[in-house]
Amino acid sequence: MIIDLAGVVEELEPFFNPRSVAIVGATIARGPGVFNVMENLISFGYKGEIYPVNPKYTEVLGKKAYKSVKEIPGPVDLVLIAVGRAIVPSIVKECAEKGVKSVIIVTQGFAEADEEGKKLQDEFMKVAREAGMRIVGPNTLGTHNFIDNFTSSFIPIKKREYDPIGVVCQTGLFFAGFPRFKYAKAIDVGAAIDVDHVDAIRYYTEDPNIKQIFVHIEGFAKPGRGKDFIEAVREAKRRGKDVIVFKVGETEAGRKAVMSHTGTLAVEDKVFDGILRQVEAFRVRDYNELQLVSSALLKLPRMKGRRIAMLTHHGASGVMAKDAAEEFGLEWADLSEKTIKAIKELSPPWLPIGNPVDIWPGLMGGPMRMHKTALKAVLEDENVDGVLLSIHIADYSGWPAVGTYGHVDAIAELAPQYNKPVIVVPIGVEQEATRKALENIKNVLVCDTIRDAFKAFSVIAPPEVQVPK
Amino acid sequence: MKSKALREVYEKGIRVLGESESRKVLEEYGIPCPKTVVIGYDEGKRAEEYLRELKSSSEWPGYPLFLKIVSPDIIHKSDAGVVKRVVSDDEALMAIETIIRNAKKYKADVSINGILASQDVSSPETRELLIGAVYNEHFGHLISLGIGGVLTEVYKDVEFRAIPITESDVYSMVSRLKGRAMLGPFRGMRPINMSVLVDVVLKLSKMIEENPEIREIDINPFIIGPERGFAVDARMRIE
Repeated sequence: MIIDLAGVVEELEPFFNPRSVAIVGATIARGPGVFNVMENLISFGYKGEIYPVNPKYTEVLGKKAYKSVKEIPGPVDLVLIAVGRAIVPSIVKECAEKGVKSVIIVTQGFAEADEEGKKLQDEFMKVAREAGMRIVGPNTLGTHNFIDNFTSSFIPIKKREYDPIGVVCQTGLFFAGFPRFKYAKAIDVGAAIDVDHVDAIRYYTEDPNIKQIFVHIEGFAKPGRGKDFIEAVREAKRRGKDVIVFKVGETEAGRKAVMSHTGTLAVEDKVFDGILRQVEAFRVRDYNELQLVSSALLKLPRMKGRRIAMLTHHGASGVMAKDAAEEFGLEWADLSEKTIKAIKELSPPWLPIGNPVDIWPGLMGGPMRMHKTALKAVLEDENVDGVLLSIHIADYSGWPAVGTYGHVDAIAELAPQYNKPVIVVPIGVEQEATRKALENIKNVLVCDTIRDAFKAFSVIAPPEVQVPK
Repeated sequence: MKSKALREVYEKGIRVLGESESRKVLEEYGIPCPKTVVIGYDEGKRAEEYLRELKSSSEWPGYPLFLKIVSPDIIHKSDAGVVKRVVSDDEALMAIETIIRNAKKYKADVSINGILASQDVSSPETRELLIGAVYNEHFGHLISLGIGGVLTEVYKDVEFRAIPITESDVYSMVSRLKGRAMLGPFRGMRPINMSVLVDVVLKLSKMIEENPEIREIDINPFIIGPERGFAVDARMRIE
């Protein structure tokens, strides 16, 4: 199956990075609490032409205002419609006459609301189809693009650093991002009556700035679109892009006349779950999981197998780790003779060296030397696919806090040299400071809990196949 | 609709296929079914005559076997007492009389088409699976694989994948089942034959691809052990 991705890019690019945008319903009110799109756009550093459209004004925020879209002198790449629903069809018609190909409808209250809304929607969709126009929405914040400084969001968002993540969602709430989920581009497809998740996945698949695609989906608006979704995700994967999916909501559609067990048991959530496994997409079920899975995929190299070595300051974390490894189907590496010998040399003679490795007694003879020796040994060990460090950071006053035990330096020096993931779980009040200190070190991820660490390993490990044998 | 067996019933206007009609479609696609013989029912015919006719068929499976009433009126056969497992001629003669009597008790004007003898493919090492397919308005046809038998609806332990599916999909489905341990070495049983399972699921996937008119199908139970696997009962609906 050949997918025309170039066509999708051409059609969707004006939504993310228009050379000119008309804002229908632009207002002169400004400041906090007004939610003025145009004010946001200007302060976001947008460099293209902005055309406010509102017959009530001659000027909006220092720009000449137009009575209608048709009156705008130059070409218009994108029109943003934020007016009462009754006049939306007439404005879409104006856009068509002006030759506009891309329209965002912020307004809500169409087919999802009532009969009158459905009538209005059918009316503007007919015009849009005849004009070859693409529509995002209705009921949407539109798009947000940190790379090219464009936003159609009426919720103010400040410029910030970003990771190579593209978001497609059905709610503007994801536009806010999260402390550990700093996306680059986002599109809220709203009711998704035209531009939908599949279009957005294909657009991001072609975008060289995007390495990870996050999909928040409540359901498909168009029947049969699930098949296109499967193909789109597979294509993204073929191009080396990870896809993370947050599927919520259960619809009753498709559960009609069934006589079979198969039919009865095929509930939407279960079906989606199977499909996501089939296309090797990652499913998340809350914001914490999203941030964890997203950062694990962005920051860590992929594991060749499922064998973990753990270095720990305390036996208790080792016990927690055993439970977590069981839960996520990860295995304990059989440490090589060489690894055991290296660690044994720095440990008291009575200490048995197993896995998890208790490095605490060995730290007494020089924490930096022990951290470096043990970390180097497990990173070089061919029986190890991933390394976990569970570190206890004391808050003894007078001690230099972060890096007291030399672990930060040891990790910073060694982790980037090997193609293996190193996950660090610092325990203590200096957790955040340790996270900061290790934030930009290659192959390293800091997790809050032992369980999170194993969840992260399970994401970057090869799929678990348990064959009856 | 590529299947000849399916076209035949379709042309007769049949849309819900019972065990024997479904079986012909499955066999066309090489999905193994237990050896089965059917003898037409005649009011007043004696048990000895049925047994003699059954045993003279080249498809006679030998003991142990199941004797069943063939009737469009009775869907849940075990509940109606019209299925008996027998191990000898003496038991078979008694069973034939009993199942005919029970069928008549089930419904006054019950329509009986025949007496069926079917190989008992179970052993102390076999497990019961559900294998099936259903049409989904978003994703098209889906294949199901899960824990089957009478407790299917209790465990709801079933995985779904879209067609066409691959060998690694079948392994992934099995890996996701909560009851997967039951398919490995378990209480002295050897593990099930995974290559037989993969083969049957891929054949079913092909059957659905070539006959999209099949809207839903259950093979339940699919009885599988360390060596072989059989579609023991199947139903399907076409559109």
